Amino acid sequence: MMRKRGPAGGFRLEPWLFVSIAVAALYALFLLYPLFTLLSKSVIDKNGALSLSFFNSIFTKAYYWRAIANSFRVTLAVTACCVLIATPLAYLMAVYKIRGRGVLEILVLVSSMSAPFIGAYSWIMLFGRSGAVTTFAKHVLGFRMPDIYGFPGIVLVMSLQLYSLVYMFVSGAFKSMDNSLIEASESLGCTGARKMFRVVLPLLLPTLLAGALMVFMRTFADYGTPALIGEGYTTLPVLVYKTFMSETGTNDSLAAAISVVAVFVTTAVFLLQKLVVSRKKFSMNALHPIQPKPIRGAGGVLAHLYCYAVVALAMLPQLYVVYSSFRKTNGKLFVPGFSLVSYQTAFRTVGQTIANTYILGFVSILCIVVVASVIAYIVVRRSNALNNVLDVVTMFPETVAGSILGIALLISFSRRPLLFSGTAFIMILSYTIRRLPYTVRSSSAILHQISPSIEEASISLGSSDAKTFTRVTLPMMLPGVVSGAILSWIMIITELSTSIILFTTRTKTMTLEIYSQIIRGNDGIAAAISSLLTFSTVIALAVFFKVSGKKEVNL
Amino acid sequence: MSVPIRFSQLVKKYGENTIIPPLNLSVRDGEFFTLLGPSGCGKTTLLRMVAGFNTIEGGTISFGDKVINDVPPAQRNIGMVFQNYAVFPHMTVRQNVAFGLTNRKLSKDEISRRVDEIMETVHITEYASRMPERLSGGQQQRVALARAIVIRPNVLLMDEPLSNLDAKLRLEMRNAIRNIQNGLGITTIYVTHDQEEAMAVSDRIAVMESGVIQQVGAPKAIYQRPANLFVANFIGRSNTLRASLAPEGGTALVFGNGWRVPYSGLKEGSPVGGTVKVSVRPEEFIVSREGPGLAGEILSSVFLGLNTTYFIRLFSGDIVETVEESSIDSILEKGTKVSLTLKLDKINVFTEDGERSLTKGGSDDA
Repeated sequence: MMRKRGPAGGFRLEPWLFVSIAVAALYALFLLYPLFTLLSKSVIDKNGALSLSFFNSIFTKAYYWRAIANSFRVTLAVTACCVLIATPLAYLMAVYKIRGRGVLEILVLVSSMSAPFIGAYSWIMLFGRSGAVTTFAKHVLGFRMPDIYGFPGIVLVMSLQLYSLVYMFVSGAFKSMDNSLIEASESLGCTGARKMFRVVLPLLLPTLLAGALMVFMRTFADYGTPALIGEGYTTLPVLVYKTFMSETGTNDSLAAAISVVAVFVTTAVFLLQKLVVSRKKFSMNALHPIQPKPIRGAGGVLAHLYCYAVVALAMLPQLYVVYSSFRKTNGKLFVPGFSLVSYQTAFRTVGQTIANTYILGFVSILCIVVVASVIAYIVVRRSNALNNVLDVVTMFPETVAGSILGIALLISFSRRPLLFSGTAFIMILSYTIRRLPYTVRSSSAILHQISPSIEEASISLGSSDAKTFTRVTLPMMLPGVVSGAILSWIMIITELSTSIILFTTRTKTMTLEIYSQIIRGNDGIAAAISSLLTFSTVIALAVFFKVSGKKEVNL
Repeated sequence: MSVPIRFSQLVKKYGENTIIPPLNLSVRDGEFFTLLGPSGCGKTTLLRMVAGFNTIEGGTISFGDKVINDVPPAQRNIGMVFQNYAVFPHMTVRQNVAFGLTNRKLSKDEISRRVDEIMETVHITEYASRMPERLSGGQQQRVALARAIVIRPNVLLMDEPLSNLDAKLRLEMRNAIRNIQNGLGITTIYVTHDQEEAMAVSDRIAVMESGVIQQVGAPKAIYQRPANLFVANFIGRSNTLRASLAPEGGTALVFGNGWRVPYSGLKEGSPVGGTVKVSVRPEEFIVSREGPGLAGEILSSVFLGLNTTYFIRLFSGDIVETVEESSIDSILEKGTKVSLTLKLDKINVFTEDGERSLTKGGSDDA
């Protein structure tokens, strides 16, 4: 006999409902409550009365609103640069046979996975006031390099870091674009630039917007890059951090108010993007994918030159960091010759930090795997009002800047009975909440490909819901869960902006150590730890490709 | 304006692999011409060479007197209907249909008039402002067809246009395509692997295998007088029997159980002895309870209403399929001994290797 399913969208008293409620409770406590605390802090003054004075000072004092304006300027510039750099790159790589394409794609990926502030630090080592290239130009060539600090530096670093996201999105869109659409356009007399603007770009638009949104969110939220290379050019995350960390009393509320403004902005951008995409959305499936054609002559040289130049420029900071890590140092200064002394110092003095990174990372990943696979399951298979809300809530942290989430957690969990501040738990909590969406997405994607009738078969053969999930569904989902988890893990070990709010000396991680070594001027040690981080990322990526059997990453 | 198409010594290679060895073919002006063959036979490759999406490694393709080898696809004035429709997902139905016209220098009124007219013809007027995602497969197919013909192409190319539709819609659409083509009189090349579809729509069919055209002819000719055993077996259902030729005041076919039957259908100059292959369609057998013929035994029967199909094991061990109009009497039981004779005017005799037909009346029309 067939087992009757509850009406679509309705609640059914079943084990999964309790799971939904449990997940909802966790998110209410660990995400919604902190965000609510943040909001309430921003509107309540020190006498406990409702007040908009904090918002008032943000919008009237130039020091504050200038940071907001700066953030917008930087974010829009970076987003535009990324789109302009990545779209031609993806087009050339999709349409033409570019030599060494496999290597290029891996390099693009590797450069996308590093912490942006390490890029900033490397650019400073090269082009900063006493950078290698600057010094060389000044003493040998006799001219002054343009200044890299401030707005142009942030845009340069962030663009070369994040163009890879747009590239991955757009090249994915080219893979799903059917070649017959392009052929249809040609056979109807539409070629060249017209074809580009009337057919190819409109087909890419939803994907471009998705990639641009991701760049927008990352740039808007980034703390490390503007902190290092921005100098006087303050952006919102830097302002939030400075305000929150300063010693004077009322600043919690002010920081909360700035955070609320930032969250409103990002949420508004997020919703706007969703609105635009939903209007423009359509599905494509490539029965006949685009086959790359050989390209020769001057055009071929230019195409290759462009692809190589972009990738090389983006890899430059990483390579320079690895190179620096092997240089001989004397105290804080690099001296001629090579040695492993930076690594030795790194392991001796900050070994605990390296251990912390892996331990916190792995515990967080365990939490993510369990929670994300359950969330993916209830959202995809048990669609009802509660689970649809959960879908939105669990994805929401993507639009909240890391430092803001850090502050929200800290002000919410610094009093008994919920006293977690300074613990490893609060670090793990923040990692789990922030990086869970990657795993949820990849898990849902694979779940959509598994036919529900497989579960129905299991249930009709007498398995309970729980047994069906653990014995049938979960094993089938596993490749998607694991590949998402690896991405989440990479994002955790390269994360700075939340950790910098929440850490104590006992829970210091590699990125934090790198950051503080950079601040202290220990370039050799910073380079050594950065290289170790890059190395971990590359290994994780290799595992990812092995597990997922794919040749690309879908974010 | 519609044109004839000529292929002359046309060659397609991928690297060192020759996909289509030198091929000659003429498609007449205004004709509905079908390339039919199993998948991988080169039919789509050939079509895409006409469209200009595949390179030509040797020989020429001409529209009328004009060799089009080096004309880019956009200037060939071709209407193409793709297997997966290739309807632009970011444009409405109307924008899709108008797309080709907006690339030509035409006034807005002219475009609008022609789009309306063609949407009327293919019955999609009511969906004009819809996005393709909200159309069914059959409707998308009509949009693709309208988009291809609204530009008044010299040649209409269709690449398995019905293969993504369900059976009922396929039947409906193939009639629609045939009627529209008939009305417009555009030279059309149609690619399919479905022989029934090919027979239903085509003026002439070219049967292809491994890049080589096996036979060109009207559907009737191809079905009734296949040029070789491949065509006989690919088009419709066929049983192949071994026999030998014996001179006997004329010629006779002699089968393995000693049954001899005079056969006058051989071409002039055919050999008068040796082994041959006889291709017999299910409806070309006559099943009797007794009398001379091919001895056999009923294995099973399928009652299909109008017809009844029998599977019969012959004396030689071969299993053949026969079909006859259902009679009111009972169906022959499994195990019944029967004797099969042949409708001699319909059967086809081939050389032993199956390469060549020996039966009179076969023609190749390339």
